[in-house]
Amino acid sequence: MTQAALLNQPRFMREEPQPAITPAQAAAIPRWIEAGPPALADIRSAAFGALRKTGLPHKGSEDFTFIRVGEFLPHLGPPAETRPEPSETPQPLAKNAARLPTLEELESQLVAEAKDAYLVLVDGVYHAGLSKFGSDFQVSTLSEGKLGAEARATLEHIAAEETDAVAALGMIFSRDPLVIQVAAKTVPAGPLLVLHFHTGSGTRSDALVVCYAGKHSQSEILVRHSTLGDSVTSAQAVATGSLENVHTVALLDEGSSLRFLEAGAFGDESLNRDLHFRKFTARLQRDSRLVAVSAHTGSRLTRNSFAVDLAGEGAEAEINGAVVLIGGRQSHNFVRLRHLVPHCVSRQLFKSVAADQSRSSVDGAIYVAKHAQQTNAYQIINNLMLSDEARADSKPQLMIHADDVKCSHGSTSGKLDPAQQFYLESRGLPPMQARALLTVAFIAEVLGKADKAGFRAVLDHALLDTLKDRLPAAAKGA
Amino acid sequence: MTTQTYMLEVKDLEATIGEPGDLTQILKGIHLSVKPGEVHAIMGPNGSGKSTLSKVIAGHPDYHVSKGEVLFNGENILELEADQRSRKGIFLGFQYPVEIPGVNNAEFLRMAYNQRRKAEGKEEADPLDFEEILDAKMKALDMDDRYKDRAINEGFSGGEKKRNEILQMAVLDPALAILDETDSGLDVDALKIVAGGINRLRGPGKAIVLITHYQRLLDYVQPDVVHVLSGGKIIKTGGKELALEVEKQGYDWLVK
Repeated sequence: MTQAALLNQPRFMREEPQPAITPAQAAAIPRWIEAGPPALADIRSAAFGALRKTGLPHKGSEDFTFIRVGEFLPHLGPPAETRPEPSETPQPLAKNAARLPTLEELESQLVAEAKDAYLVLVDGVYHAGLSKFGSDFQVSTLSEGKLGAEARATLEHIAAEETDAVAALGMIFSRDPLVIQVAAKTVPAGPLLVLHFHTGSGTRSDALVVCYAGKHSQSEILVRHSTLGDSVTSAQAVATGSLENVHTVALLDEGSSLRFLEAGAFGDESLNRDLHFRKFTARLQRDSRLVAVSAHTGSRLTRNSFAVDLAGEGAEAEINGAVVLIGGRQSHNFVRLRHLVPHCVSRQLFKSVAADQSRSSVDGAIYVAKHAQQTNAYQIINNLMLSDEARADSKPQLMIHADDVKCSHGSTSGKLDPAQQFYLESRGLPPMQARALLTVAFIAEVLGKADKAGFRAVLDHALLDTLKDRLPAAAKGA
Repeated sequence: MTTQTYMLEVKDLEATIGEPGDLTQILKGIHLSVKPGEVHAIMGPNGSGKSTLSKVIAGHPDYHVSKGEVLFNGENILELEADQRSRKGIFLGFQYPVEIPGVNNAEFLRMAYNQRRKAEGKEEADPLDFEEILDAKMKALDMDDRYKDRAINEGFSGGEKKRNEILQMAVLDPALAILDETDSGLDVDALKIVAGGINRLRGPGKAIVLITHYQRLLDYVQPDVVHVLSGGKIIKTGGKELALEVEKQGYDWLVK
């Protein structure tokens, strides 16, 4: 089957028609594309085509099963700067209100493994002057035209096929997507850290980051998100929160290996205000290997979406998620993983800890195409409930069209094991420490995949810190 | 008689398990007095209440004490939580140690060790110092380094789990160790190693309560006092010859 034919396999399309995009968007987007760099017009137009086809999310959208669409729909309008008349937009422009991170803020986000290799984005805009990296990674923006023709064509195809309206908006409105490339046969000495700083000053910020792993290269990309304090100037932005929309596209060429470890923003009050939409799209060519780990503590509304295509024989993808939720925070993981060719392996492991009245969901589907024989795929979803008011939904799905495959999925939900707790306490650990240890142990299997000590330490500390006041309270219910 | 001469005093202890309205009484008036330096063995048929007694002393939340007292060095410990009792120097070796995937064995031991140190007003051990302590204890128990990297009891064989219990006891160095059928499921070689660990703890300031179904362990750890527990009560107390008697004749002659 040709690559084009492969890509035209059914996406997980729903039957119902979606509402069209608003007239404001229909008018603003072509103008935005025309006014922007010509080098971005093809990708943006392709994404616009996809957006028109797919429409805006609505109640009952399959992609948003466990999410109330009304909670984020108001954030999907065109960014202020695309609107025709400035008088209609009293809000300050996002780019003006945004401030850059201070040196101190920047340093607080670095991890031991990547002290000298990091890229800084503020509200999705790449700042070369704040970034630092060696020659192992080639860093540019998409308009510079340094992404290879084949990779660029794949990117355009991905844009044209996008079924997630928010991700499509990200591809249209990202000012100038960041491109990170690792040349063929290159094995960088250490990982590259991508720092996303969000100012929360607009109703939405859009970022597109393209990672290209050259043939037989072997690399690691670490991602951290954080919110800059005190940068929210508009009262409206404070009241409604800001939607941070980050779309990462990873293109893995033949025989390449990429580890992608992503940490959400932690411990910030803005988590209770802001919405985080993160999409990770990956396309794996023959014999390539991907390990993705995402760990975060949710926000007012967090959606992590993974669209992974195993498009070359022998490719392997591992997708892992760890989530710790408190208060009224939400986190929704959404996975669409497609086995398009034979002899590929995929593994998914999602672990969520839900305290208080938080809500978590995992909607994960594995699609195996008709000719994708000898597929080996599994998916596991485990939820740990620390309170009776918390809610966790799991929706594992298998769609198998081949007949010689090994596929499995499973989902569990439960509380901490009292026998394990007593065991630890009987050795002198106070109940709170015992519960914390067991909770961390629950997600340790996922965190263990993030095997960079400095990065892992950030995750351990942040997740534990999030839970610190919740564990003794939860103990009473157990 | 002053309570100070005893390390552990159990007085007329009654304990139940279950929800209110559906309570089952398991301990029906236990009396037990253990002096520092002594090793007591508690034997008895299945279901006699041996494990329950050990868990009640250790503070298991599933059991409700309906009557009686448990004094440790003269202090009533029934009001204390399990972790507080542990930090005072009481150790329970479990009959069936649970597996705790994701919690590293050595890390956990260091946390437990440092909790104990903190309770005693001593400085906590840093990872390097602790490793030295741990290495010495592991060597004595013929345990290799991979125990350190494994999660608590995860994938351990029955014998490995029991050896890990003895390792924890050796690290925490408790004043009172209650070992619940630590000998069951061990082959002779493992039994000798475990018995060696128990004998090393033995000393003037220490007391050990061995709960066992078989007399075999007592060939390697000589008890000072042997009790037979049946139907939630201690029905006979004697010297080590009582254990041999029980092995020869079973429990029936005592129960009747």
